[in-house]
Amino acid sequence: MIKSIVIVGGGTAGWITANHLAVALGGAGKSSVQITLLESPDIPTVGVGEGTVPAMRNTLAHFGIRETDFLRECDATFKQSIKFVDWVHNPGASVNNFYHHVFDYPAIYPLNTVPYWLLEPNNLKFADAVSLQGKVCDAGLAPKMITHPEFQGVTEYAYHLDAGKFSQLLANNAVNKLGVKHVKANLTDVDIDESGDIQFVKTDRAGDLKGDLFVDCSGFNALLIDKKYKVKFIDQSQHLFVDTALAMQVPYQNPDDPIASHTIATAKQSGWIWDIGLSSRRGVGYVYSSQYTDDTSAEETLRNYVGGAASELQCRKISMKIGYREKFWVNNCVSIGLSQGFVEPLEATGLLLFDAAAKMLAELLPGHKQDMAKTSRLFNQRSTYTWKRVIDFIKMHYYLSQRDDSEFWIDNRKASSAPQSLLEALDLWHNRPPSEYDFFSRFEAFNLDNYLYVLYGMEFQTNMSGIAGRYTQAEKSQEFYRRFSQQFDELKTQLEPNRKLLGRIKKYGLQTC
Amino acid sequence: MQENIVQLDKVEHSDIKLKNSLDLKRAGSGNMSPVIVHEIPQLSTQFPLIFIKNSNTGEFNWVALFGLESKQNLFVENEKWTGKEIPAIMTHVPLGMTTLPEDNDKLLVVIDTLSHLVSKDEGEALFNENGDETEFLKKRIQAMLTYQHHAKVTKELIQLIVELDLLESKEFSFEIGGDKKNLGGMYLISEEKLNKLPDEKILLLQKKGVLGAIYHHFSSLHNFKSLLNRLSERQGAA
Ligand SMILES: Cc1cc2nc3c(=O)[nH]c(=O)nc-3n(C[C@H](O)[C@H](O)[C@H](O)COP(=O)(O)OP(=O)(O)OC[C@H]3O[C@@H](n4cnc5c(N)ncnc54)[C@H](O)[C@@H]3O)c2cc1C
Repeated sequence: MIKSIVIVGGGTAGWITANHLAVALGGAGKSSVQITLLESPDIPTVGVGEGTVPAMRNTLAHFGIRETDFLRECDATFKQSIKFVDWVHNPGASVNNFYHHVFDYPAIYPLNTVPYWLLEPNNLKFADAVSLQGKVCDAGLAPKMITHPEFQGVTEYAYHLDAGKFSQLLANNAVNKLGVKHVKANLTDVDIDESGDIQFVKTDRAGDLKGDLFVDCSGFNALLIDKKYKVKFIDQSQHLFVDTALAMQVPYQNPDDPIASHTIATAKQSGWIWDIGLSSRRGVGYVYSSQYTDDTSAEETLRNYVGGAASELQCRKISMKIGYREKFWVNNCVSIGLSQGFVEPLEATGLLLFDAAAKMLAELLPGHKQDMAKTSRLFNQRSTYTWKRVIDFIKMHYYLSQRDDSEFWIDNRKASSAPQSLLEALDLWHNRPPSEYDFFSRFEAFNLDNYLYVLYGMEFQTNMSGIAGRYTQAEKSQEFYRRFSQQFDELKTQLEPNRKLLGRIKKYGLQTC
Repeated sequence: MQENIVQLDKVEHSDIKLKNSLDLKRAGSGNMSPVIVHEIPQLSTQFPLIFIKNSNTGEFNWVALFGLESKQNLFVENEKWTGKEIPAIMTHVPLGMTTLPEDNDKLLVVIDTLSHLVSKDEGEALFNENGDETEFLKKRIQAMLTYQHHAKVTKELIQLIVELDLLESKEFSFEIGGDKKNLGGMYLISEEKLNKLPDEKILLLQKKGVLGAIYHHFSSLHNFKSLLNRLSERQGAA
């Protein structure tokens, strides 16, 4: 029987896994499974990872964490979109060189207006033709009101958060409410029996930790899956070129400076800059390819972006290996988090993937050790599929660009740099818009809505000539556009700026119903 | 309607008089009024007593409902109150008591000097020649002080109801003159959730004196029907 689980690593991945397992396996004091999390008191967590996707709301609720507590304790803010700036054309080519990838599902029911927009865009950006959320973002408005219950709003939303504080909140929840044991020590060695299973891990100050299952959440160190099991890393740098990040924490000039209600991702000559507004500060970072630029020019690019405020600030360099492991679960060891693999944080996939993996593990975990091999096959298959699809989706942001102002962009747009699966999908969409049938798995990380916003935000051309005659309700679609703009005018009077609502929530809290 | 709400001041307002009556232009302009737990038994015989969220803070208030649309008050006719009961806070107007935003413990007496009850020649004086409060004003202030105390207790009881997760959002759908309408943004105590509470929590509600109020809340909901009657009478008359 599986009675004890040891998680190695206390970053966001480790604590998300601990919470998922503890909730699924019965919670504090009552469960037949003991969960222990081992965390090094000396090795810091990666400390970045501030953007999330809406699934985070379900996750928090599932863990029994109040949205009010989360917002207050993690300096969290509302995120409704990623605004991609300068991705489509060379900088300066037009004032309108941006698009929103919003979280609201495009309004394709009862009438799918996508083909109508393709036939007659009416000077509307795609996101504005199928949703009002881009406008909500540009107006700096929050996605909800003080009278909305926790986790509910007018529009779909996720969060920006302080990664360190978030780990702390997850840790408190896991330890105090869900009965997870927290051991602070360094892992020094791993003991494997003749079957290849880990028996225990050795630590420098807490003795040996035995377990039936070990979860490797040790970050880029990948202490178990890499250092012990030497599972191959499938490099993806032929598709995705960035390999370094420079991160900076930028204070607000004035305590009441507006907080953007979306992530701003600005494309640069050799990568892109993330700009995330928390309630306490901004997190800004340049993710770039060391093949195409050097650290000094990269730092200059970042400092120029931040402007005067940057002069006194330090930045931190993080090296990244883009790719994923050949397997994620071997014997009785599962890797979750940065130890699994990494893609650049362009669509905030980090937490999303690790959250989904932890949930899958919690759900599939067999009762007996002898059933692990079967389960691990399934887990590996599903996880590999997810990673491949994520690589496709991220690459698409580069591949569809029309930028030609640097080698980085020129190389990124070459078909030889794109995964075959992406090219095949795009080939279909050259002659018809994407359909739900293109996304058949219930567990896709990115779905029809995400593809629509990015494809048509990036001015992807779908040739409608063969099918145009099927779309006979053009007037109705116009009516939908008008309705959005009316609805927005109404919402504008009800919603308040992000910072204002967050201040109110700090003071009064949100209600649960 | 014009308002001029200022802090009551013995110099500035030395010669003001106040008619001892209701100012329903002010107090009766909305379709609801907050209530305190102490008046819930009486009020429950006449009005639906429901919970709504304060639009500034999101916090729950316990209120008596006078109408089925915003600004509709079915208990005011020709500027007269037609109900048998009235929430106490409405009788304070045009006086009022409030706290300073920077200091929640400091209570201030305010007055709306544009109320038709305020004048120089009719009604009860507020201050005597020496600038001291008259008996009339003293009584009014005492009533408001007691009310503040009761409001605080009420707030704590609502907090308990919220913590026990007893509220649920409800809509009231009704038909009037062939039109289907909806009153939203309303919260009621869920009987189901109440019944599922463990004994010790029920005991707690009882000890704090809120269990009785909860039962009055349930019985007050019958008054939706009398609101509807008043509404159709009014529409019939129109
Ligand atoms: C530049 C950058 C930007 C990112 N942006 C985003 C984003 O916007 N959104 C998003 O979702 N994700 C983002 N991510 C990913 C996100 O940061 C990670 O997915 C997330 O923080 C999970 O990290 P982790 O827990 O796997 O690793 P870490 O945070 O590195 O944690 C590793 C843990 O292992 C422990 N450990 C290591 N060695 C030992 C040892 N010998 N003994 C005991 N314990 C040990 C450490 O103490 C630590 O607790 C970003 C990542 C990078 C690099």
